[in-house]
Amino acid sequence: MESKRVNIVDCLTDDILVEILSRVPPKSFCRFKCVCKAWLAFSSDPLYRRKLPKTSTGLLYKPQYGSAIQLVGMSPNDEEIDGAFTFIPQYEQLELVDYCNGLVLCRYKSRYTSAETCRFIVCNPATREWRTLPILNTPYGPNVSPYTAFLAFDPSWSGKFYVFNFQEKLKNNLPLVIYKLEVFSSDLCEWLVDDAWSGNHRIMVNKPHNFIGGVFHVHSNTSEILVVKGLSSGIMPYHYTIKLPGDCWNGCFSQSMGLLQCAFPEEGGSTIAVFTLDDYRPCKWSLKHRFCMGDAFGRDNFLPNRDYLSWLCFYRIVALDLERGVLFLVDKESNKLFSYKTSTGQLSEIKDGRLGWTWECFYYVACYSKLPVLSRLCDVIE
Amino acid sequence: MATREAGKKMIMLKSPDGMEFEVEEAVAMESQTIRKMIEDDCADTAILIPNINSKILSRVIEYCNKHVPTTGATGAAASDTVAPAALAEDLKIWDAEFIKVNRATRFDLIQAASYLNIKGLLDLTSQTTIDTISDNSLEEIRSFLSTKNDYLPEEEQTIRRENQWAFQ
Repeated sequence: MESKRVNIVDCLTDDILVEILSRVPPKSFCRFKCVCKAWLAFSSDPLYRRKLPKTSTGLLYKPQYGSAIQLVGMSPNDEEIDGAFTFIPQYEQLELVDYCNGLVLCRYKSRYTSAETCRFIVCNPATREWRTLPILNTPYGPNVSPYTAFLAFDPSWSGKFYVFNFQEKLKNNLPLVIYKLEVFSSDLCEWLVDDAWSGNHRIMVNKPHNFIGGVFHVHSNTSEILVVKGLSSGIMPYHYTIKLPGDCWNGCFSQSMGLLQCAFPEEGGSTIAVFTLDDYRPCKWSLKHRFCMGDAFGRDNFLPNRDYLSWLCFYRIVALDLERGVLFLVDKESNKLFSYKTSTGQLSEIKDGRLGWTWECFYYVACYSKLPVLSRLCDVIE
Repeated sequence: MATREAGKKMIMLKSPDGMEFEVEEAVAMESQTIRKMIEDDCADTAILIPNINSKILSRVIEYCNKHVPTTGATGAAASDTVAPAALAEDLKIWDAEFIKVNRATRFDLIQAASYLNIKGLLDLTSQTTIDTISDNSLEEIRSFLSTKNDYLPEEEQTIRRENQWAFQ
């Protein structure tokens, strides 16, 4: 009898184990990964991954000046995440600057902080780790832009993170163009500077960007992507541009299976196109999806399809997550946030999701790994 | 009860050990797998349920009998007199009693619920299993599920470090 029981237990198929594991909270599931190799493999199996506990996701933004940063959760098990960053002293004084694969870049700015002083903080709201970066002094004046900083972190590529700060100024009557790049790397713990930036590039207002496998992409000029790659210790990265598949006004970048994706409204907003970048040189895009938005918004009076009008589209795409089948949009008239299910075409307003004074809004996916680069040098803000 | 029986279509379910169970079609259709067979007209005489012995099959039928919706023409009287909340509470208590079985039987029930695609039973059996193991140490979980730790010591160290937060 006893031996039969053992047999029965041994017969629990992977399907059934996954069925059982799909019911545990994400935290327990991460612990269970340590049980045996097969359990660890479940979470990377494309078939099983959908069923297993989901990583917390949400939208991160600062509702109004002087208030704490807010995380509107999208999944039921969010209690682990401190979306207001209360683990950082004086968290109300944080400006939300950028987000990348679970880490958040903030700037600490009190009433006494001068406009030239950039005190950046990188933190992980899921593990409550944070660290400050060495102060960066940026020029301030009528002909230069304030800082334009981005966080670059991809745990599947490296445990290090980088911060890029592009400095732009008016040049030869052109709009603001980049003249200098500053790069912070977490292992060197210092800023490297490239004073001789080549080319006339500028960062677009909504700055769609993404960092995948060590390569940084940001929307530049009208229909180009500025690609920055070659990050390694103590060496400045190099850059070049590639053409976008369309006009990316109001669009966003994301990634799928390690490839860059670009989603943007077409036809005045009546459809959203999603392209994947298959190759860099020569640059090759392929159309992956086209979503019809007319039904979702219940309106058919989209603007005529004129390139020069495309920035007028009444909504902007905040984020795209094809793995979870969801697009996030902001209605530019009401500043309300919406989610769009790609499988059903259903548009739902996000409760409590409303952008205020700023348009900055980031799609957040939790990263639960403790990072040595964050636990080091946790300075106290004076 | 007479009205319940009258005009009800019955389905014969056969276990591989030769036992036959006559159940109402509505009860059998709690299983999405059987529903599909009935809808595809593959169920004229008897349906053989492979891999599920008579002991487990009878318990599964017991579960379906209890959980078959009582709404509709015949069930109207019942749901009029009992508030839905009370019914749900009653079912919960019944479920808790039903699942008080040994580990092997529970695993058999999970397999059966999965094969027959009975969502409620699958939820119940899986959740009970999770509740049993969620606070256990990894070693206890391994022994409960007869799983071997196949990590090399250094591999286990790495994976534990990566998921350190989950042990905190």
